[in-house]
Amino acid sequence: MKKPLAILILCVQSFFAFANDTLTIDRKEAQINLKDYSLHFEDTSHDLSIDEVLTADWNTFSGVLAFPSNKHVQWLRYDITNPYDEVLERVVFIPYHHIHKIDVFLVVGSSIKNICETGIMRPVGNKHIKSIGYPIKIRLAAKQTSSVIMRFQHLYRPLRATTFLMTNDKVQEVIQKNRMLIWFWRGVFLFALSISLSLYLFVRLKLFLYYFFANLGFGFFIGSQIGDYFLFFESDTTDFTTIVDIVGAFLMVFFLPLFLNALTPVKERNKVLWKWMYRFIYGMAALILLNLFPPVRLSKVMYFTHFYIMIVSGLVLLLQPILLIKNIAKKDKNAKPLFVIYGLFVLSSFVDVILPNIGLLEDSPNVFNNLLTSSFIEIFCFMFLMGREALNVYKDRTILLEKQRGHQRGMIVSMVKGQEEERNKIGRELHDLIGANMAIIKQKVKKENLELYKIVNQTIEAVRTLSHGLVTPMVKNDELRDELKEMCHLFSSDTQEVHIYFHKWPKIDNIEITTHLYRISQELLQNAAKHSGAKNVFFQFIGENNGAFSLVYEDDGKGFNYQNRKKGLGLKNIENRVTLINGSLQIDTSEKGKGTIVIIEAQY
Amino acid sequence: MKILLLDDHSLFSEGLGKILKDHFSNLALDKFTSIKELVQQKTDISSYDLMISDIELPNEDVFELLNSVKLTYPTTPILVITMHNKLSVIKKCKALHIEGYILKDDHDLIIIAVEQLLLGKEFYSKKAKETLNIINKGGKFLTPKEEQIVALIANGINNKEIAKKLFISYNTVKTHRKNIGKKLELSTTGELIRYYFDNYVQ
Repeated sequence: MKKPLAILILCVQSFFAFANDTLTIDRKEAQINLKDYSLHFEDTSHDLSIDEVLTADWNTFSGVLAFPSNKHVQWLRYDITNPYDEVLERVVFIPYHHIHKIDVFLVVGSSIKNICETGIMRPVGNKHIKSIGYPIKIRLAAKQTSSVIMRFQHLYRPLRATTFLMTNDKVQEVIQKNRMLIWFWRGVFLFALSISLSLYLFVRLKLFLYYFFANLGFGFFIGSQIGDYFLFFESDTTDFTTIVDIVGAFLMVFFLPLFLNALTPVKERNKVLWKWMYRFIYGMAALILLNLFPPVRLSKVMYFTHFYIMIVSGLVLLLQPILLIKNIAKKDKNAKPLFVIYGLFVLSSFVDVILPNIGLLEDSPNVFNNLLTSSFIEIFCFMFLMGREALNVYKDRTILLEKQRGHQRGMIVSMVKGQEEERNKIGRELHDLIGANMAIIKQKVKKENLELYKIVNQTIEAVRTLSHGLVTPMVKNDELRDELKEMCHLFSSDTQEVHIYFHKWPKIDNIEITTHLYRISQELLQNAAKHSGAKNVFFQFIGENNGAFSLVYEDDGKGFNYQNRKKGLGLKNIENRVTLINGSLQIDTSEKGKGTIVIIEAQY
Repeated sequence: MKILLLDDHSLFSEGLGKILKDHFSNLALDKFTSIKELVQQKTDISSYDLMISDIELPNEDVFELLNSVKLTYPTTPILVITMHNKLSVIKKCKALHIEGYILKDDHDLIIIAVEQLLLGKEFYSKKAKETLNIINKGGKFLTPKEEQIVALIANGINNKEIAKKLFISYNTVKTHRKNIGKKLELSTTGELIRYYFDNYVQ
């Protein structure tokens, strides 16, 4: 995120600062920005030695020590006078870490000393301190002017050579502070990464995956700035870190629009623009692939790559708020908060990169403070947005589930209704037609034909019982009680007695509920008669004052295995009907022959 | 003697008519197959000595008719003759003060029923009376399982152990206990224990 802006701004020269030629040191001053005292020389031939350079034509360098991408070697020179009678030990501190090669020379009179060779392309052992900048110790001779001459080599990459002269204590303090902040950032960053990835794995919302990769890209970039990756190499002679850097930029640029789009419909509103934007972004990927080969990476292709990435990512990132404005106008969800957060993010980058570069904000050795602060802002704000989004998705899902449940309920309703209608139809036919006809037959059969007379009687009774069971009694209030009593009576036989007991049974005037209760009881009694082998069946109908009621069925039969029961119609029918009265069903049974208890609780 | 017969089964009405005519020589029997027909012909029900009716006609509410007949002509006795042997139906007839109720397959009772009703008496067939009696049947107060639970509670055993002992689930024990409390109107375990010792321990 910062990178393109940084690169963009590196080209900007400031006219606000004026360089003094010589710095006269003050013992009390713990930290001096060397920017104001620097002399500059650009070696376009790339192979001048320190002796040759000393006699070269140095320019006063006004403004920010930033150089655009090129292959040239940059020389910086600080003339520092020590007015005291003693040798002063100081530290030249270069807070940016990712510079390829730095050679530092100390020139006092005619003596030239190479005091330091460092940079990421040099072996680790040579680095004065691992990660977070380069502190280079120098000794300033008493009553003399010493020249600190630095040779920067930074092949085809934009260079920012901010340099401070500090006391050793101050440097240690700054490094400690930076280190603390960076560790804190690492924690928050990894937390955000793991949270977004695990949220993606659990919720399967692409939003989190996009954020994960966009954030990972940002992390790559910051990591390369604070020097985290250099620790993995003895020396990065082929500038592999730049790959990390540009891959980071690519991930950011590739996933940030997708991330925004997942929160608010950006793509839909700007289809053509979106398509072209991604064409340019794919171009970035192609260049990155090319740069995977070290000879390419160390050639001018890198220069072009940086230039391309700078332009494309700058455009893409600046395009987003413009697209968001369109969404705000259309009143899309999340558009406003996204715009604010994104703006905050860009603003923080502005404060971090642009202001120091145009000299409006004093450079500081704590170069990462602002960078990391904006990372924090970004992480917290986007996490907040995503959390909100996840909550919305969760709510939607709940509603969907509710709908599904409603749908399922509808299916049960129509199934039960169909069954009910079918039964009623058959029951009525049986009763009205066959039953009545049988009565007529009985009229005609002479009593003398005793055998036929008996059969006709039995048939009439059978038809009556059958049709009784089939036709739904349209009952309410106290009639249900009578129906149930009658049913228990009908189901009682020589081998099985059905006891029925009502306690404070309410008057239920909802025919649907009474019908379901009737059918459930019937199903239970049929099961009892067919399968239980019980001698006694106890039916209790108990009401409560608050409109709740329970139906308790008990038998002393052989029980059954509820888990492995055959998926017969009977129990399923009971389950469906209990669902339809919003009741709870509890079946307590086993094959141990300890009987069966069925408890149904509901409200009317 | 005039009798009104309302039944949609013409075969059955014919047979019934034959039985009645065989017995009552001076019988004038008017047959209707629906309430609609009855109303369309502006039948004067009060002119009949007895009304015989089925209680179920296709798409018509016979009970409503019987109710209004009872209200307007309380002196005309009604004999219900139906296939139904249902408690709710019989109870409803009782509530409407309908004088007679016999089942269609008990048609041999028809003569007695008609005679009784004409004498101003009530006649409900034996089967109907039996069905009506079901109302008065009551169940046991506590089921055996509930008694077992009460006994175990009285012996200081907690719900979990009761569940284990009786091979039932903890929830079932809880529901049973709740229901026992409700039925006996006892709210505390102490009262339940007292109840147990009062009623089950000699």
